[in-house]
Amino acid sequence: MVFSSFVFLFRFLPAVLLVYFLVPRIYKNLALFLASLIFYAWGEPLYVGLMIFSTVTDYIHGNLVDSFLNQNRRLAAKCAVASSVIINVLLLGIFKYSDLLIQGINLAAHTQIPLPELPLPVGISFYTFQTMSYTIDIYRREARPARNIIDFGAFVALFPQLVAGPIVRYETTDLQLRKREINREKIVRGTLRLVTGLGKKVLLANNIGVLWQTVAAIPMDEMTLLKAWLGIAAFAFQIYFDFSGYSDMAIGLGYLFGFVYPENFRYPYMADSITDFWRRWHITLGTWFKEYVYFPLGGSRKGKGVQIRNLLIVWGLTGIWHGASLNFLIWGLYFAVLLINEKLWLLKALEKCRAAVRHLYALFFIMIGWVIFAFDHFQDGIRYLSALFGTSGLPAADRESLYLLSEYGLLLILLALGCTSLPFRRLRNLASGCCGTAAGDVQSDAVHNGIRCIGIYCIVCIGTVGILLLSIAYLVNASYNPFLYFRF
Amino acid sequence: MKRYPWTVVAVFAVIAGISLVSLLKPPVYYSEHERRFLAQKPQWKISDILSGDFTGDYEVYLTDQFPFRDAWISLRTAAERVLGKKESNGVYLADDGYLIERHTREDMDETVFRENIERTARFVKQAEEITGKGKVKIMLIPSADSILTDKLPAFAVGLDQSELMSRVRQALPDQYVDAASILRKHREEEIYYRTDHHWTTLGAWYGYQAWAQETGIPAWPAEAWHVEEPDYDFYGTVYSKVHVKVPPDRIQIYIPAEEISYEVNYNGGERITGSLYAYDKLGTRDGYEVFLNGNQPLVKITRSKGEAAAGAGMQTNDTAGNLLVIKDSYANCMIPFLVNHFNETHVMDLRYLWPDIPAYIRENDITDVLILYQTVRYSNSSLYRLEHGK
Repeated sequence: MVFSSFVFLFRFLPAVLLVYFLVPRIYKNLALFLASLIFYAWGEPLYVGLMIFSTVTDYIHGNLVDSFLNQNRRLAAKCAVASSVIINVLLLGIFKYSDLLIQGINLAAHTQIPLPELPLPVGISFYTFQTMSYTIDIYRREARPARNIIDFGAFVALFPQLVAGPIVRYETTDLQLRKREINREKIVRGTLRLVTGLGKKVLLANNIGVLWQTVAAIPMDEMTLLKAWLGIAAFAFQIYFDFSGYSDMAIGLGYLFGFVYPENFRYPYMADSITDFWRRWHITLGTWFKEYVYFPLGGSRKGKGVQIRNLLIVWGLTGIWHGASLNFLIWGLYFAVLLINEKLWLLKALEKCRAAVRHLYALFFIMIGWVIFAFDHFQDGIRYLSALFGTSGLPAADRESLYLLSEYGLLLILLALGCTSLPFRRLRNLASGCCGTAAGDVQSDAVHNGIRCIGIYCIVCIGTVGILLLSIAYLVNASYNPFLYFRF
Repeated sequence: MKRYPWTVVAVFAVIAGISLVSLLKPPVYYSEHERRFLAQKPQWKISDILSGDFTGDYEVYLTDQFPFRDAWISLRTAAERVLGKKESNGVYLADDGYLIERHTREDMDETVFRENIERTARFVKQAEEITGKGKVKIMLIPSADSILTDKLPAFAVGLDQSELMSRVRQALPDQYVDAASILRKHREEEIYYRTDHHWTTLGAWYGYQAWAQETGIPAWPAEAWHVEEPDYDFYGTVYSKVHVKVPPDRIQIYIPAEEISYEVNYNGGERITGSLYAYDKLGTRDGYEVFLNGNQPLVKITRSKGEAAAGAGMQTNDTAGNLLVIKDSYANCMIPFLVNHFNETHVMDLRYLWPDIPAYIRENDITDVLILYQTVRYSNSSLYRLEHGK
């Protein structure tokens, strides 16, 4: 099930909220766990078994690790952690990477091993990462084992973040699973966040996705400079608003059930270096790799050589995590090279530049990155790049490019604004003024202030309901409502 | 943050309200607006649930039966307009209240198109062996987006239908009837509906002129008809994709000034009437079905002999043979012009029928054949049945 569907919005969500608020506290985790299984089984009726398998195995492993540690048998505990990691990586390997591996073997050894072509279980990359974090955190004594398998199941399968993150590390939800409070603040935050996310996905991402889809279908011998840039800008906007909208919905839903999830995006296109970009883009994945791969490998503490090796490993893995295809690996390594350069000299050089130059530099390399990301076939990517650099021998623009520009120009401007923190900051400034204690010294000020408060209040209320209604309107007749993370 | 409880109430009121209405609303079986049967609630079956078919069907059902569908679509189009978009849901919001379907290169299928040309060429050869040379014609009617280009938004580009038509013309130079040129010449007139994807009766009138010129059959002059305009507001298929406020279309019906009687036989005697028009369809949403009852597999129209021939000054006996029309819905409003030149007119829609056409031609003493399709459809749906009759 996806959040941007009627089944979710008008069947699943109201039913689950109703049940969740009605059942007594001790059954709340059970209710969530069962609801999550239904949520997952809706789209993946068979693979839900895989998720349950993963849950049970890691629950047992976690308890083993804990009891070994209590008996001071560190080696045994280490073996248990290793076993859990191996099982999870094997699951990923079989269901996600077997085709790619066998293709590689066939190519290298000239064999004809048939490809298994297993359909990819949705969310497997997310939940295997979460369950791995459980045993590792217990081993590191950063978390206690879950009280029971229901709590743990609720952690693994929790439907808000199940299929597209944020990737929650066990350490951070342990306490919330045991005891969490639902208050008015969380419900208000959650609702606003949920609707915002829905709007980002349905109104912004889907609509600009149509532009990308149109450009991607244009034959390469008609790909003018303008079309190529419009296309890749559309892709950049689509993937950001889609993914961050989905994370917003996850975080919002989390609030409604009392959970506080980590943020996953922080205005990534406002980054002024690639290093900065990766601190703002898919933050929970970056954190996961840092915690469980980069630091254990020695991070940056063992000299420049080791650090470079570590960066290559982490970004190679990050790349291939996004999909079992070579272009994702190349995409990851592309960023590794940029990051290594930044660490060695580029950041220092950039510091001397003006802010605009730094932002342009970052955006340019991010966009080139999206070209690598978007094209499975390297050849197509190369041809697209040559169109981007105006070396395809075509005029810079033709009728069709101008038509696309006139159709999507305003939306592109709105999207560019939406990528910055400006709209949110404006709203917050306006809102904070009206409840400030400093204001209201003079009577007329208070009246003026009160009017402004009501104004803000109306903007938020009407805006939120408006976004919800518009999103429904776009979903009723949606010819294009993709689920972009099916390869993750 | 705590200050917005009413927002929460409003949001959940919308969600709960729509959920309840969609649960309680009785299902609708057919959407006249969209000309299709709507999905119904799927039945629980273990095999369907395991294969994922059930969940897919259920989602289609929810979307199809969604409460206030039309209102949501209007809201969406309004939002697109605010964003400065001149196109919504594949429809140009064009000048003068025209809603024009947009066709792109993805709407044609190169393989199908090439095969269709080859098929038509082989079929024409086969048919001409029976009817004689010059008696088989093919006519392709471009859709509005390639003719009413003046009304489209700036820079709009779409599928190049003239290129498609010129390829057909090259393959069949002796059979090809050029309807596009005359339509383009009259593009300022109302030759396409504003809210429907078909051409109007006036458009078909010009098509009839092109056909007459190519066959050498003298077309009846304009004075030989009087034009009826039934009191009926027509909102066609393109309208239902966007639901914007535009004036309705009017359907025109050309009646011969001299009274002529016809026998219209649907599907080999399934129903026989005396009129080319199903006026009762003007009470429904799809008014275009007034022409020959919409899409029917096989219609045979017999003109009563004698009576019409007596009509002063009208050359009805010029060929007096039998015509076979192989067609899609674009032909429906042109056939009333053709029937007067033949004793019998047979109208075949290969989407619903799979006949052995050469045998049919022989059995029914067909003397003339017309293949008439809308260009885009000709380029994307296979005419396999043209030569592989059963």
